[in-house]
Amino acid sequence: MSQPYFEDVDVGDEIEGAWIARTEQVLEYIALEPGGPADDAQGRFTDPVRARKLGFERPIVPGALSMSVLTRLVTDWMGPAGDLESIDINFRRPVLQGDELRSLGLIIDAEPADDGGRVRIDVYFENDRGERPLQGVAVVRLPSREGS
Amino acid sequence: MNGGRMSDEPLFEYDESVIGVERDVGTLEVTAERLERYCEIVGETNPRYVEDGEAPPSFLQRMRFAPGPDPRVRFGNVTFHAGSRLEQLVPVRVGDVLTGYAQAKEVYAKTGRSGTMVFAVRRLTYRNQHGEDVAYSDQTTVHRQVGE
Repeated sequence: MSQPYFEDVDVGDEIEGAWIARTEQVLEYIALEPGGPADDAQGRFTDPVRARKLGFERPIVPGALSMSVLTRLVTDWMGPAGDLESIDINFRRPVLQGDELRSLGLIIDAEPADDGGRVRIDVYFENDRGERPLQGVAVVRLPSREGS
Repeated sequence: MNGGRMSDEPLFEYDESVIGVERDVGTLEVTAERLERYCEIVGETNPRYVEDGEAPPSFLQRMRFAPGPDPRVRFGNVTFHAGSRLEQLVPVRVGDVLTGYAQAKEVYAKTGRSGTMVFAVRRLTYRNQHGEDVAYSDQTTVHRQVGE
């Protein structure tokens, strides 16, 4: 894994990844904590029939899992010496199981600081229907080359 | 119960007595086994998380604490998860013991072209065994009326 430094990034730089929201991954995620935040009392994550009754073409992906994968776009990019300070995500549409998603990040601000610098990154998923089901902003501290 | 009336819009009600009241919702240890499984399912690649025993920020949102104070919003016929914000203050590592403190942060209404929506924001504070706040997680749910 390479390490980006604050001096190497510019406003307008892009980060890109991809994710297919597979049913197996959703089931494994839910099984991590039965009864936890992604538990499926309504059947929308696990039962195609009940999901359709709730208005979804297919079972959907728990928001927490989608957010984890979108967060990973940032933490994969920032390297071992970067710090994710915050991430703020809006859930605009459901992610359906089987969706093919591009995860995208756009650096919108970069401010130097004593400990390197902070970058603000617009992050979002784009699905194969041209929608952006999740959208938000992450703030990352990157190290400085001078401090390394 | 308390609430508000928006011009020509129906009354929404909620339990104002729980707003801002913090409740201990349990204590959990970050175990190597659970962290490793989480990283595997989500596909983490950053060596901080997959080799060095640090928990990815999104891991915190997967921890199962007891339910926090419920503002019991009465409005509309549909509720959905609209947003999630995570702010990390201190790294969390294997062996850390985290206590969750939950509160209903605020309830408010917005009226736009698609009608009135009532937002409820809940905050979970993660405090470690040294008494440090290590992260805050805010979850926003929206209540709205769909159809007649």
